[in-house]
Amino acid sequence: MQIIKSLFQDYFIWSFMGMSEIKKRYRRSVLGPFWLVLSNVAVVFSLSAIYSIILKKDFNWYVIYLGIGFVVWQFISTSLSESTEYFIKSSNLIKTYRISVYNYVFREIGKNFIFLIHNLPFWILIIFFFNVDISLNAIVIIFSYLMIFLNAIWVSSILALISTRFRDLSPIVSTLVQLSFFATPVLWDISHIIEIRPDIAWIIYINPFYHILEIFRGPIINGVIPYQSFMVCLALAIFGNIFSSLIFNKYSRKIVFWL
Amino acid sequence: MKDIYIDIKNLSLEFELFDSSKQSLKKQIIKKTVGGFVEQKDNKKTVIKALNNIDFKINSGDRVGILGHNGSGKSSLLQVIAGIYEPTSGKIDQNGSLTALIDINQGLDFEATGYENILLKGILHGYSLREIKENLDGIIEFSGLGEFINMPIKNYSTGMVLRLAFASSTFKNQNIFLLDEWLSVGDDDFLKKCEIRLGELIKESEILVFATHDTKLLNKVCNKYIKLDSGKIVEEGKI
Repeated sequence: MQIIKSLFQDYFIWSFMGMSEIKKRYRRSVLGPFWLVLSNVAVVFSLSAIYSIILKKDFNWYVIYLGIGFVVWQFISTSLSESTEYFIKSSNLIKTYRISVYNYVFREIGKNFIFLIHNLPFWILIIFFFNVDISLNAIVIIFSYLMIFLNAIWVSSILALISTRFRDLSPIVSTLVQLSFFATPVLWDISHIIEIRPDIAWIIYINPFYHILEIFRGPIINGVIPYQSFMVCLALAIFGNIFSSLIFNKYSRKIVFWL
Repeated sequence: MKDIYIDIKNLSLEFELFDSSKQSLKKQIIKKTVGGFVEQKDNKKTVIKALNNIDFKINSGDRVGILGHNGSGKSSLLQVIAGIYEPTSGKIDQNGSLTALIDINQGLDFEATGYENILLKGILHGYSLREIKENLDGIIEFSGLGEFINMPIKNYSTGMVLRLAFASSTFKNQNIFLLDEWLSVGDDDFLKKCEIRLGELIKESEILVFATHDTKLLNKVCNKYIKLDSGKIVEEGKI
């Protein structure tokens, strides 16, 4: 499959382009990558101070819950909303060089992924600071990173492709992403719904974003491996990537004509 | 040794022009679902024929000049040969490694240093990191940038950027060399250097395809020419 071929064979092309994007962003700040992490810390702590009161949650628990959820959500939301521009912003490159269009997707996802991993020290810091008992099960977040990467690839490539052809998709996507933030348990947690209206909790279980957050939060906070969520993410990754490969087989050569 | 050639058969390239309503997902969905209720004024496709039934073969040793006015299809033809556009109909067969200098400044990162840009440009042209690093000294020497190589290229002059881009795209000889007209910037000294390097490349590459307005230059480097007008070959011959 073309996508796997590009991922490994063109590894150097997209990782290099991604790295130069990252360097571009860091070049002007003294703290470099940790500037972004620091701003996350500020947001997470201030939101925790407010929402742990509103939602009547223990502050120590809430900081970690939000700290993980917010960072993962940030990856999801930038990957989705920026993906509509991936090909459009690389239009000159696409018209000049004969490299696979997947490179332009991998470059951006790779970049966001590096930013996501940068937040790991922040997680470790709050875990030790707030004395969470961490179980050995937390090691499975290595697979969580893999799952989120694989899922980001297929969703972003499809969005990037469609929005190159139909230019009005971009505002629709960003509205939907904003909406999903409130519909997904990032700020609040699923126990609220189960307490008040257990009959509609299924709405959350069919939300793929919930499962992606859960494969990070479950192992770290509760020390359990959320097998069900892992299965959902794995199934999505497999079928999604097959689906996007089929679409790309048919349409990837047309992208340059749409630009 | 394998035969190096480019074989173009009945090749046409069409661009569909999308107006704003065709680019709108919303309007397309409404059209599909409510169809009849919405007035359909613009059902026709607007198509531009950039290349129309091009048919010719380039063999090893050919230096083909492509002449034509602006918009006659010169660049489109190069882009099709380079594999960027897939032909709408017809076929193109080719054998041999290929470098296309279509827009030489494209792909440079102006925030990055000269050194990083050499790597970036090289990999976009399909060279491996090892190949680039093996030729690094040569590239830096040719570009004549000296210690500037570790500075961000946004601080370079236009000529310096061009030198860097040229050096990092042409350090290795390829079988097929595509060249779009662009050698208009750069000081005399560099132009001379470029001409020598291009001369070498042209001599060593087995096929050259060169799009230009300049008949004088064409006479100098090419041994064949085709003339395009609105996407068709109107004249063909030897020099």
